[in-house]
Amino acid sequence: MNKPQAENPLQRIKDAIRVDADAIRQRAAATPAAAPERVLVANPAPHASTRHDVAINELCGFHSVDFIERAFIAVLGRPADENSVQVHLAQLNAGRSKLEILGDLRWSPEGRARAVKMPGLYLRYLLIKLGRIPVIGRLVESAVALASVAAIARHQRAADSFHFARVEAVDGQVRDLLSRIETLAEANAQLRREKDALSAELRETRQRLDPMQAAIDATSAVVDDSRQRVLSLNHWLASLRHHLAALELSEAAHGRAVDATHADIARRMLDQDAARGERLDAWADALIRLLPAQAGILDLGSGNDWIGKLRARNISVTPDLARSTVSHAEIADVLTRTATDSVSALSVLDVAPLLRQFPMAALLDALKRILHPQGWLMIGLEQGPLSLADQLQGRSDVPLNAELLTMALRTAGFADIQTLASLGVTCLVARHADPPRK
Amino acid sequence: MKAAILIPVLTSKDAVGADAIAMAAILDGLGIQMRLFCDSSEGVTCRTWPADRLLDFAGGPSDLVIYHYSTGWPKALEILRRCRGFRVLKYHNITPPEFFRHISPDYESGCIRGRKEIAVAAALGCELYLGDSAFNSRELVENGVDPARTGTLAPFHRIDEIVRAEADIELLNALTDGSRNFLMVGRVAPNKGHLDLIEAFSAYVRAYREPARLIMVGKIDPRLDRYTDAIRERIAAHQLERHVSWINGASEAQLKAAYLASHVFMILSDHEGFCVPLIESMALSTPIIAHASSAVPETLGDAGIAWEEKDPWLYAASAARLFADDDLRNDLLERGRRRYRDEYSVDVLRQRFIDFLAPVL
Repeated sequence: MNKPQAENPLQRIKDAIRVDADAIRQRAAATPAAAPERVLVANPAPHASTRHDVAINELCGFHSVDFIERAFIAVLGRPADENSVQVHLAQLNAGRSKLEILGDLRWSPEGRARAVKMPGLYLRYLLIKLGRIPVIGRLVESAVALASVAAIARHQRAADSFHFARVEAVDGQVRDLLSRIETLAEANAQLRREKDALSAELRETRQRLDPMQAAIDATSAVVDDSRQRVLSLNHWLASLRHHLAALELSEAAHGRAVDATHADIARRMLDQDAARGERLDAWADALIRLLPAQAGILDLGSGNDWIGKLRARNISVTPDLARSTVSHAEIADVLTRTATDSVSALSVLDVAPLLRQFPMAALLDALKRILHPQGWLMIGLEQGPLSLADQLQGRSDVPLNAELLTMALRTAGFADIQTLASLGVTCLVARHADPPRK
Repeated sequence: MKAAILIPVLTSKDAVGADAIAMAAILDGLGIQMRLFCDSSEGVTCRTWPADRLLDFAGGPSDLVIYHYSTGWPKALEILRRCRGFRVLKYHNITPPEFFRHISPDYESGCIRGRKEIAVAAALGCELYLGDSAFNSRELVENGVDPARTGTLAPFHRIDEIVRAEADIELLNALTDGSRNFLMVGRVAPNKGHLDLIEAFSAYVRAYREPARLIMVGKIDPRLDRYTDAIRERIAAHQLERHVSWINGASEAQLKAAYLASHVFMILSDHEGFCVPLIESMALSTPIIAHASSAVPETLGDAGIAWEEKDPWLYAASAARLFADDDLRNDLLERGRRRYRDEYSVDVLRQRFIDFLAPVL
């Protein structure tokens, strides 16, 4: 309920701003764009109408800069520039008549081109200009002055009356100002008294707060101390973590070096097995027939030559960045981190060594998690790099045969289990038969 | 648990980098082993690791990975695809490519690629998608993200540092010469509405004839020269050269001086995923007049005057009203300070961030 009430004032202000915007838009449409210098003029002259018949008495009713700016608008149809304002203001201050300034503007080249009608100006401007001619001018000026004596006297009386009224008004304003100054002085004195009272109250409150502040300071010290202890503990833990990480890194580096050595030996051994190439070609061809186009395979430790055979058949092997087959140490990481249902096929040609880390049921569950439903698993008892590495580390082969492997696959929920052309080595393919996950 | 923050380029001065660095500091403060991964970094004091090595460190079932998505970067999506655990995608928005058409083919194609990745990122099924604003979150949902996995968290920022910084006194003196100062902060890019801003400023100068100055703070990008030239031409067309001050790549001290010396923050941007300068204005008490586009109305709330339309006279009249009406000005400033304190202060954002991570902490 509060929100609309709070928004209403802002909405009202926005409505008012719309009105302001319309007004300035219209004003701007009627005004030529101002040059930057003109932007700095504090009070721009209001624009006279664009009529071409101008009453000189009306214009002469304005004074000083106001008169000059209005004269320019009326006679030349444009605002006065800063320099012109200063020149004409100096002329007015030197006693030049407004009629002469109006005439100068009207019969300037720019004024002639615009030819504004100003009834009565021509004769009066002519008389003023005649007054500028030596000797004759003095006579003309005297004649004009003589003819104007009655009017001048009337003006003088009117001026006396006007000035008397203005003096009275100014007197009244001065009295009013004095009275307001007196009132303000009283208010000021009252404020000083209130300020003194508040200062006293403030001092008193401060005195009452001092013990509380002391208690807060003491508590803060305890909190700071505790914070320091916690931070120290954090630092200690962080340091411990860094040391452990360094140890892990060192151990991992050592493991990688051993793995590299074993992988090299395994590669040499496998290179000597002439029948292996033939087997791998046959299995790769069999796998291609089962897979849809663009399918990707994740291989677990079957050997670089196997990966090479797959890539030669344009099958993408995950991970893309893998330059070599997955090592023994990496298999657990790969199984844990690979996203669920993320690959179309899996190859594990050398499954026996994996059983050292994972019981068969757990291994098949992990493979099913990664495999797309209806994806294919190729699993074999080929002696690959992992088996050879096991032997080099003094571990014996896990005894496993095709029958046992088939039974395990069936129990784990794989279907369409087929035995591939073996050339003396067991290799099976099986389909992940679970329905798609929801 | 380990936490990894992934960002293509980490710089301390841009909004995305500030967000990532603040998140890293919070996770570190919670005692979580944390690392920042990126392709390159600039001007940051914290240690970073190559993005390619993220999976060696984190990405396991109990780990947290936060990706700051503000540009096309296929590598990040591949890394996220191979991660498990709690994956967070923080979406900072990508400018629609049409803004760069006829201005920069590089930017245009980069934005096209970046926006195409939104649908790919949505298909990853990350555990949490965070938008800087509800505007950003809506874009994610429109591209296929599950609304139940979507949240909104405003970006962390460096406003406290700006508040604590000492203002550039020389600049402050130069700007406080009696002119009405209009401020715009934002990189010089075609979605930021500089041309409309100049129209609005010109309308003010023509209508009110008071000394006025437009201060434009923001990095000028040489790859967007066509746009920068168009701005210069528009300024010249209105004869406003002497009224416009550009500050290219301002320091914190200069930025603070600009905010302190300005009478109004005016922005006519067409596309903002959040708009950090709005909350900088709120915190530093500069009243705001803004074009209500994209995420701007949501960030601004009731702390400023926002217009749906771009009529320059409306903005000019709004500024004049602000200058003349002390009650309005004070009311907007108070609303701004309150909004910043309640919605965007670092403490509030920190708590919201921790709440979002509750399932994994």
